[in-house]
Amino acid sequence: MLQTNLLAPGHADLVTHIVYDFYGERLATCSADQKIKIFRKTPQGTWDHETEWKAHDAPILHLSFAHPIHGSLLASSSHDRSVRIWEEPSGRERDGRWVERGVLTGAKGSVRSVQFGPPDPAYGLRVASISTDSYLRIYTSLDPSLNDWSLVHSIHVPSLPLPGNSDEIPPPAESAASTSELASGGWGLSWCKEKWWGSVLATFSGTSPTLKLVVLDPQPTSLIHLTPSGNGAAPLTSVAWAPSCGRSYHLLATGSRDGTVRIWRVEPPGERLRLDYDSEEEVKRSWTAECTGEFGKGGARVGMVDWNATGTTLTTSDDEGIVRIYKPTYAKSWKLLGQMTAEEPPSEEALNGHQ
Amino acid sequence: MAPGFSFAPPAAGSPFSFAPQNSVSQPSSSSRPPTSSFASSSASVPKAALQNTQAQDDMDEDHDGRAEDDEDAEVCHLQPAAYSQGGRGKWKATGRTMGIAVNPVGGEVASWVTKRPTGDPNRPSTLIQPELSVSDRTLYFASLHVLPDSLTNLYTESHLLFTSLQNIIAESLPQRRLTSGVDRVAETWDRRGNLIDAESLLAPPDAETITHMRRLMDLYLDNLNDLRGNQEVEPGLKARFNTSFNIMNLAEILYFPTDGKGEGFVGEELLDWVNDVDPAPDNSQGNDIMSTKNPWEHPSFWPYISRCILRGFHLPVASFLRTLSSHPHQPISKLATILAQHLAVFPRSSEERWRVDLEFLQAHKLWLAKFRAEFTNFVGGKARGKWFGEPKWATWEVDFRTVVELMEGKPNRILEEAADWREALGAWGVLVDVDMRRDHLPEIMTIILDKIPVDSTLLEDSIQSALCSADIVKALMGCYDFDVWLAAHLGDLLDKLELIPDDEERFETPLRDYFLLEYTDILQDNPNHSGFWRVVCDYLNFAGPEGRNRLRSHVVHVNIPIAKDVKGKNKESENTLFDDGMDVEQQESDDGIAVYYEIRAACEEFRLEEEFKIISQVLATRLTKKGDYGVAAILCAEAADGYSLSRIAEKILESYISYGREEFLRLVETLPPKLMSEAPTALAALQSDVTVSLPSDALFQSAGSVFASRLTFLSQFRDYLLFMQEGVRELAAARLLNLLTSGIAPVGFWAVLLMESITLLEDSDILFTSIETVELLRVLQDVLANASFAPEEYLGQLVLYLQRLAGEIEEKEKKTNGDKKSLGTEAALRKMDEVRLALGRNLARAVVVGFDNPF
Repeated sequence: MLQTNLLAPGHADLVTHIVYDFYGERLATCSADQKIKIFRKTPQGTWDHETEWKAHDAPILHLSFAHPIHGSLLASSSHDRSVRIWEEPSGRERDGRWVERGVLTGAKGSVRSVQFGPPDPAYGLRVASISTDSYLRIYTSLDPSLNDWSLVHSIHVPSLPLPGNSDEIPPPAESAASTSELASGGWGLSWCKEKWWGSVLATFSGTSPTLKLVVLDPQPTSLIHLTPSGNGAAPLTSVAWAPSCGRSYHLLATGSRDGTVRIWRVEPPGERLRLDYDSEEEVKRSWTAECTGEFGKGGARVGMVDWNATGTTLTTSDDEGIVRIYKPTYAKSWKLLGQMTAEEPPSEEALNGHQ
Repeated sequence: MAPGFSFAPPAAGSPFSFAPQNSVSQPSSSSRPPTSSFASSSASVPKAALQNTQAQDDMDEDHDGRAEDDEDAEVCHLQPAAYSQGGRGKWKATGRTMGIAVNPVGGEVASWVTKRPTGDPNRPSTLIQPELSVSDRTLYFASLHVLPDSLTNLYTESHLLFTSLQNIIAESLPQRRLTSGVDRVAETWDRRGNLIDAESLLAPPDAETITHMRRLMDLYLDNLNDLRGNQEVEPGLKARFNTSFNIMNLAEILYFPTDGKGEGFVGEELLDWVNDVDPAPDNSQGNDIMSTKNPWEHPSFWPYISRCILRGFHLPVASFLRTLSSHPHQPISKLATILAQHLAVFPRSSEERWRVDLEFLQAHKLWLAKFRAEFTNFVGGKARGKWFGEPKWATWEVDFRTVVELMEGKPNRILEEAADWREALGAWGVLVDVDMRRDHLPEIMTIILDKIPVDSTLLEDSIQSALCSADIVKALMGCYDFDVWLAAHLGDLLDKLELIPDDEERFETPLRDYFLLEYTDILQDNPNHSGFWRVVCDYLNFAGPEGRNRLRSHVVHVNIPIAKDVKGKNKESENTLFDDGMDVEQQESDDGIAVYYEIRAACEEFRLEEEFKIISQVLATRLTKKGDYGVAAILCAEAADGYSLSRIAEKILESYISYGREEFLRLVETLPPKLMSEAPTALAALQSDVTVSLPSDALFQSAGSVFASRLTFLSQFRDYLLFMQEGVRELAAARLLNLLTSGIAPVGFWAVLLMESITLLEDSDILFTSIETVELLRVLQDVLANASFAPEEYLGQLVLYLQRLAGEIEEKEKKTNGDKKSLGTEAALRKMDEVRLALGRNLARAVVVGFDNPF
């Protein structure tokens, strides 16, 4: 582990989120200063400022780049309860600022997370968001010029019934979430990067420790609920669905309020078996999962979790400001590979004292 | 510090230097970075500083099982630091924490200081100390693997060898099939074949293949050898190359014998290897001993002799012993002479005089018999301790006995004298079992290790001993802990000998594939990843099913650099090639196309049709955006992406609206002529087929239809413009009419075409017959009727067109306060009225004057 570079993005407030584009050649940053900035990688590996613009009327919380097959698109979500879709201007119209292609509203709270779905010709371009009202909202634009966005699904995450259980828990009346629930809750989502099983994503909301895997079509249905064993599991704070690279199983990482990072290994029903199922319903129920890694319990709240491109390295951050990198061994047990911290290194004298 | 551990604490100094503290020439003064450090928005780490640390870092890209415990994992301290040692609590209390993001290409980890969520998630978080420090304004980038140049060299060079090796094996497959089958290569290739039918079972590689493999292995070894001797390579890394060399060299001796069969004696080769890995005894010590007056009085005299015998340096021992001929005690000098004589003629299997192995064995047997006879004769039945007479010589007897027993090859003596297991093994094949063959090694290793266990803290030793004991899995796991490159390449070689047992019960991936995948992870996740994209393709392709799957996602993530800037509206691209401003862009664009062609070649080689389609589509989208329609159209055609093709056609048509005739004609010219010339034929074919309808704007339809109609339209509209330009107005009129009546014009363009018709209608000649005029009137009615409920769709283009025309007039007349923005649907409708008027007039003229006069 070695620091290779640094960049001063020049926001007027702290950075809230950054994302890389599909090729890792671009970086979008957003901040509490309501601005989005775009940087481009130089051949020397440094980052050049490309453009910036004020994107929301409140601090921006989350960003997501779309798959490049849809063009150069960025989604942002904010405390202003909206998701906005931005498109890079084409040569002639370019004056820096990206063009606003959509303002997706309807959320009754801050939109904590937003993410474009993987490319899937069957459904076109989709973007999912989750806000503190615990609704997972899926929007789409079939219009190629992206000016016409509509809400396809609106899912109250706590009301999603267990797989196989058709009795939907009725969504609570307005503002049912208590302030205490809000204060210790978390909201997040992550798409499955493969389209084989349809439009599938993982999401959690509020104070629940359960991660729900949902297939969106034709009707949003739970495939499996991932709940840590034992009582008193802490609410989730973050989730990342690893690129599966064609493996027969999926890996998902979650972070919790109590510092626990869990790695779930989720297995969809095998394709050969698929024919043997009596119904689609049964196929959906046949997802299995096990928790293959659990560490950090009792530590500081996990802030973010993220995978590398092959799903072989997991990076996490926590409220202590420590970044950890985990990797599985050949026997698939997870080990801590390294840590990063912005703490000043021990002085030379202290080091020498240790030796 | 553990050897090779990389999380070196950065030097206190400027925030841009991340060199470890123990590196030379690092100023260690002020620890607070100056706030004015960010002169530019992005600052790179000075190269020199990086190089100091790169080597160190990569030493442990594969730290062995570090504890799960945070306490034990090494820490990389990011610079500039956000808080001082022990200041974390205070820093946290201000509401700050760290965020992370991982680059999907290259694996770089970005981290930054962010706000911790506060009580109400609907409210923005706040900070207790809101003023931003340097660290608050910094994005930190770090990489798990940073490759120094020497590693990059090795990785690049060994790639070619690796692929050659795969090819050699692929070529040997047909001969190795136990029963011939058709087209089974692919199935047996990844060694899943172990489980499938007997037809695909493989014999181990034949001797010829193994000698080919050995030659390639020699080249791997040459690479390592160059690097371990290279003065520019950082010492720690050099040591690693050296160890890798030793391990691979040993594996070559044991598993890739010169003859390809491994039937010969292995003793001498092993001894050479031992002498290379751990040279002993020290020459200077020998000289030192010899230069003393009575060398035998030197304290190291006897130990030196033993070491020499163990290491096979028999002639020097003989000369050492000969010095004893001047020893005053006659029996001593006599025995020394006997030993020296026999040592000088000790038969070695490496001598060239043996025509067959048997000859050597007989010679050795004879030598031993003679030596024993003469020695027995010397001892003459004297009891132990009495060899040299008086008891005061008894200690001499001990030393002599050691030499004699070593010469006789007494196992216990060798195990006692050898400094470590390696030395014992080296001596074994020369002194004990002179007919030692590769098959005997595991058994001999058991005997040796029983007496001289391997120091398990020395990874190198345990790998080497496992190789000797034929414990391939243990050896490779050790290699993996030591160096992933070594594990991947050695694992690949050994796997090709069918030496790695499958353990499918416990693991999902075969060991070889696993190591290759781990290796590609390093190639993919480092700052120089882009230089390795093609290398990674090859390794993934040969790394089993998971490798193939990873290859699919790897190849689509390869960035194709295209120039960002568009050629401006009035810049004729062809003429500006030599423009200063264009050079760079052109260069970049050429690079991009070169990469694209490389990717295409790779996709063809690895049969990645689907992925290639996606790559082409994405690139076409980007080029379309950039305005490079010609190349984009070619790519769409390659990807059979009719939808994007029709988008391009629409874009070109829009250019007429927004920029006028010249730009339109220029863009149409950039389209591949083949596409243009084939479009009308394709369209005609489609139209003649009644089952194919041509809806104007459906999203998903066959690649051909929409684009064929769009292209035909583009081509005919171009003809119309050219006719107008050349003043051939009858032809222009005919073409315009055809455009409007054949149904190929997009509805949005109808109004624009109608407006075009005005000048033709007003021509002094009558260019439209009454019937034709009525046709045009019908189109006009359609436009007006539809515009009443969809004005944007039917008149939007015309409005834009009018706005541009108005803008141009303004510019001509240098008006500044024009109100072109106010031009809207109203203006378009007025224009339609003009059309109606012109049509009416033309109808009247045509009816009265025209040849189709009904009267």
